[in-house]
Amino acid sequence: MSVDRGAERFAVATIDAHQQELAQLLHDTLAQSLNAARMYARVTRGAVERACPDASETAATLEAALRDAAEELQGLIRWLRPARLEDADLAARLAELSELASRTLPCEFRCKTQVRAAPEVEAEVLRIAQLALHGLVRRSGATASQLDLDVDQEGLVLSLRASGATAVPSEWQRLEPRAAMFGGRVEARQDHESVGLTCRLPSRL
Amino acid sequence: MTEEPLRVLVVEDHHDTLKSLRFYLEQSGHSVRAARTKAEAVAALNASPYDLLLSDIALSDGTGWELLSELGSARPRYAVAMSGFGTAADAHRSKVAGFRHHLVKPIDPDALDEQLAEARRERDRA
Repeated sequence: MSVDRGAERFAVATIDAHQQELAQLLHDTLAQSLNAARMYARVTRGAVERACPDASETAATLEAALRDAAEELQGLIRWLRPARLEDADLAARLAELSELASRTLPCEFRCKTQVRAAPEVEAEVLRIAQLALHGLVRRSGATASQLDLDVDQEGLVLSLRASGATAVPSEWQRLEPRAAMFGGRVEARQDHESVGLTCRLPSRL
Repeated sequence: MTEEPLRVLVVEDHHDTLKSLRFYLEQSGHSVRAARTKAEAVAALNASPYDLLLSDIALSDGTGWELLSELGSARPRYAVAMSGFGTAADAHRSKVAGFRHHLVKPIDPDALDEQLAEARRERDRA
């Protein structure tokens, strides 16, 4: 590995560590406090319904607002926390990401072949998929999406396509250096109301 | 007919979460004890029987998974795990450890109510 490539990997690892730390801080502080407020609001709504039915709609609105805020924050935390393979295989983790994305934007995941690659490569494919999906969910305006994992003679191929999109998510532009660290590449494209991203990484380092 | 309250042990090390969960459960009519660590939880469970254990996974002195595996005969009839990151792997690990359900924070009060109802049915069947 060249010195520059080593420095790139160190920089990317540092960014991921900061994101992990931020996600943990948000989870340990604001998310817990918001959820506590939501529980109080739930109990308050029940009390208001019994004691003052005229105000029950207001109490229900307050509870719903706190629920939405808590769930939105939790969703953000899940995206911020860098995805890790841990004991699962890559396809299983990608399926989880697809499911997470589907809470906001329908996302179908397909993987038709057995995928085997160096652990570092699989970890990076997972992270690239997470960042790409997060950008898609947050900024593209897409209405449906599809995530595919495949293998060709060059290595792993991750494809993400979305229809109804109005813009290529800005996050996608930052994926190229990540793939390049492993000798891979990322291509993003935009057609009429659709965007696509293809990431190719060699299976072995 | 008034339903008999559940005896609930909540294991949670976050002050606001513990306070709000306790408040919610007590307002729902249940009898609640709290533990902030795995060690406190083990002591409480060995001292008294509980119908429901509601335990956070990440504790300062271990995990909720370890807690359940260390209990032996003091293991409550019904146990529910809670965690902030609800990956499929976490949920699977909770199931393997013996938890009946894995709630993801922020905890949906409706989901919690379902678990309370199931714990009550389990106790009444026994």
